[in-house]
Amino acid sequence: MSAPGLQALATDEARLLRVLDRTFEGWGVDGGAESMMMPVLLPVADLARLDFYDNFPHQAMLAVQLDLQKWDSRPTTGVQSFDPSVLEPALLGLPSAACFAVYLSMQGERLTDNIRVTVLGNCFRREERYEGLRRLLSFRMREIVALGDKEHVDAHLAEYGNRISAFLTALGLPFEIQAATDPFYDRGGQRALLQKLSPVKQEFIVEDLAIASMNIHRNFFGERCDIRSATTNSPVFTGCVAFGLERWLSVLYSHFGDWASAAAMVEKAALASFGKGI
Amino acid sequence: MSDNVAQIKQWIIGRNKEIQDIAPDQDLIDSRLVDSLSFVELLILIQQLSGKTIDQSDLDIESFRTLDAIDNRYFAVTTVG
Repeated sequence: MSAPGLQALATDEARLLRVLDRTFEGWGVDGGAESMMMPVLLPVADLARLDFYDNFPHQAMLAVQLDLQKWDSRPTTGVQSFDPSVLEPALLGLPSAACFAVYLSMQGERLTDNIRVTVLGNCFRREERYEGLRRLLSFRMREIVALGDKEHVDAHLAEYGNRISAFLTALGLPFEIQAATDPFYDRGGQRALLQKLSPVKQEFIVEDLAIASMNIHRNFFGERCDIRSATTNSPVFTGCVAFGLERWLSVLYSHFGDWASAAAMVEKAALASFGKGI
Repeated sequence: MSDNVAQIKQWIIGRNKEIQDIAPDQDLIDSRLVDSLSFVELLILIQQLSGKTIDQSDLDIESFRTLDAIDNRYFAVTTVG
């Protein structure tokens, strides 16, 4: 496998990724989150309903099937790529973040309570350049998502923001929290102004790399997926904290110098991060 | 509420077909009645109606959160003396 942006994880790396993921999943479960699993592929029509192809066409990846009527008689050795003429229309997409599937899976639900959901997503982003574990085409993202009223989402981000800060401090990793804008494909640059005045994304930056983020969606997904409060019938507010797991590997390796030391420190900090509640 | 703010309210309602009315203290940003795409258009509309130039490098989001806030910041009658 030698394509840019695709990287296999060796045993030590995979082990550390699993420790990190179990830690973050555990934080979610601590906070009452349902720990769910989502399909990797999502219907293009559903992602389009979330404005995904308006906002992020530059990141989009599609999964297509071969049109066997057109492909049938051709030789199959030495294939480097498939010409679009032998492909069926692309009905499925690869998501760039884990939480899209959560909202789509909850389409039409009426929530009687504020809730949390946590998922590990296989995510995909087409980038102009790829860089080791720092910038990948295919990567894993753990998310802890809040759905409910605005106060619930605000409290969720504050609580998990504190938890991430405490974890990074325990690891001895210097970090900054920076307001950020989503990498919208924005023809007019209009979106940036409101995002600057009223940030909806904050990132935890370690070694110039965003390894986790806190995101406010207001009631956008509640509205688009018709997820409403059972009591008020209003679309729910949503927000999420997200962890780019391979990016965590990258900064941990760089900071601790080898996988064994990184794993030992993460396990220690992870143990200490439980039992304190949120 | 001034006529100008009533016009702004109608403009926002026109862009949000599912609503009939907007309370003067309703948060326009958190409710996404004004989103990141329409925000710049809102600024232009306020500028046109108020005759005041809005400096985009010196904006306070709180001045745009509600119809009341817009009214106070851009359309309040200033009395002198």
